Amino acid sequence: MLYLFSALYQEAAPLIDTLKLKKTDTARGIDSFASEDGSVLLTLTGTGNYNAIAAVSALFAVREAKRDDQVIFYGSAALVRGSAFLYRVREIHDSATGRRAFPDLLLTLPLPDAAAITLPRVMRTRTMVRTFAAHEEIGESVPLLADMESYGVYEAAARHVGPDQITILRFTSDAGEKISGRQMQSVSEQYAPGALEVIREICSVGEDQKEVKLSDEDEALLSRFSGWIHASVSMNTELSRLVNYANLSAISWQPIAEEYLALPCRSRVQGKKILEEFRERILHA
Amino acid sequence: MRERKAFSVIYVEQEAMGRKETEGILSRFPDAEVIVCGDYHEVFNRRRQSFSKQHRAPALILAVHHGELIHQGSPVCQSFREDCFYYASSIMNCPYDCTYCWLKGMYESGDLVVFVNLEDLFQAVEDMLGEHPVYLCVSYDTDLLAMEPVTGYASAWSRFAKEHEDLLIEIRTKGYGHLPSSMAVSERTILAYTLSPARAAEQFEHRAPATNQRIENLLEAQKAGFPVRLCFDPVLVYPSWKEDYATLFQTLDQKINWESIRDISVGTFRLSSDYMQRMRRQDPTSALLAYPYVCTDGFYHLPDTIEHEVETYVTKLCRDRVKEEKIFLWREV
Repeated sequence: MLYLFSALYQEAAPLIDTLKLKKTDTARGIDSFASEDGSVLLTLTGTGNYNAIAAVSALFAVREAKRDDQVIFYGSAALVRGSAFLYRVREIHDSATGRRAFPDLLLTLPLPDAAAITLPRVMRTRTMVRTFAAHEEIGESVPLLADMESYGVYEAAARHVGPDQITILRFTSDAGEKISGRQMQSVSEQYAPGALEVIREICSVGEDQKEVKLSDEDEALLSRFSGWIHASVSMNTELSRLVNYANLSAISWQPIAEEYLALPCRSRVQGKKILEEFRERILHA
Repeated sequence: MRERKAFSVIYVEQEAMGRKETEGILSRFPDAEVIVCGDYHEVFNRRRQSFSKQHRAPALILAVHHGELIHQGSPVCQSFREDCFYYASSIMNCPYDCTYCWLKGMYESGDLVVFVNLEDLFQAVEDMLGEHPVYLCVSYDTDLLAMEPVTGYASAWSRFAKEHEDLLIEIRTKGYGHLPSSMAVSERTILAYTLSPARAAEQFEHRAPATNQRIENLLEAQKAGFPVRLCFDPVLVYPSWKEDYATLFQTLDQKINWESIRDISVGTFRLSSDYMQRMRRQDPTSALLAYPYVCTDGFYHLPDTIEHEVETYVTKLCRDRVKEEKIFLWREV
């Protein structure tokens, strides 16, 4: 599942159009757009950290995040240092609290990385420069952006997904001067194709899906065996664990189980003894 | 787009900037993306990290170690009858990827932390040596020799041990390229090689050198004059373990002089229940972790009969080759 977030409709519009997203209901108080197959959901957070936190939290209150989901924020930022570009944010500094957030950088993307400072309000260039001066630990060679939502989005999302599942993409829209909605959308349209390409690549990497599943036949046999030994809850847990181990170790447990099933088992006491024997035979296979 | 390379991203604590070790490590990775953080916990202890994803190509985190630098040796670790058994961590996490490694249960992150204030650790050891001798394991939370090209810490520790008569250190390893020429040889630096059968090493000890390479490494260490310890710990239990360990010992018979081995450590699998739960969640397809261990007093271990069988079998393999007093089980009987 891909969860996209943007602060404003004008920023998100090119993504909504390209991905053919339609308005949908998710949680009260937030505007979301979903793809037809439901695999992409874009939510508008509104501007500012508080709105961002509220929107992300509201969404994940009704949607259970999974290990193979991706959370990507796409939006504008003011450029303080560097060139006008689409950036991946590698470190987020919250100017209000002094805290930092670090999304994982597990992939080498065809984008430059930048540091972002999340500001509590719109600031003009000179004020921003003074604010940034306080963050002397950010090296002079690192592009610097100013935004108003990255930290809130990251922290809210981090309660539900890991740092490898969160990517902040920011395109530079201004240098602290006022910009209209139309201008914002126009700039977003320039960067959206590149952003979408990166988003597709991020989603294609996927998760190390490690799952262990029994076949239907094995499930049926396990169920029969469990019933036959009059298994209690703890016996069932042990039995499942033994079968899991046997499967992973390529030990044929099925003939052993079938062998026992041909005999009577009249009680749980007898069933426990059989389970012990079953275990010994698996472990010494 | 591709996955990043190992150590292509380096986080540096603000306090660690400008230090000699920091500059040395950074100079070895001139193309790395360097990101300054306030405290290494900001990166190393983030919630919900994917150990496996990070560990495929870990980031490096350079930090300054504060607080207690030397810790009492754990009861689940062999002290080799040394009094004053301690351990110290100058690096957290290991470049190798062993399925059963307790570090995967202990650390939330697959990235590696290198503490750049080694001099503080040395000072703490010297303070302790002022009171009593010290037996110190310096490579528990990592493979110090595997990290030698990055840090040079194994050499630094060996030089430190050579200079201090009452200090005995153990550097445990699963092997590396060649023994660094900068290592200072003395009786006070024990190089301890963890050996597993070839099949087990291939299946469970990813990225670590093959068993044959480790044997070559230990021969090189012996030739250089280091006391060498063999560690069959943990003895890995899987369907063909008995035959494979027999084969391993036959290989060792052909290659090494058992008389010249300092001592041998034998241990079976043991892991705290918290660590086990985390590791099983991370890797539900691992047969080794899925083994039906028994939990006693908060630790998972082999069922008693199997544990006894394993200990008896492997110690007999050892006893057929070395004197009894050179063999140490992970727990004193």
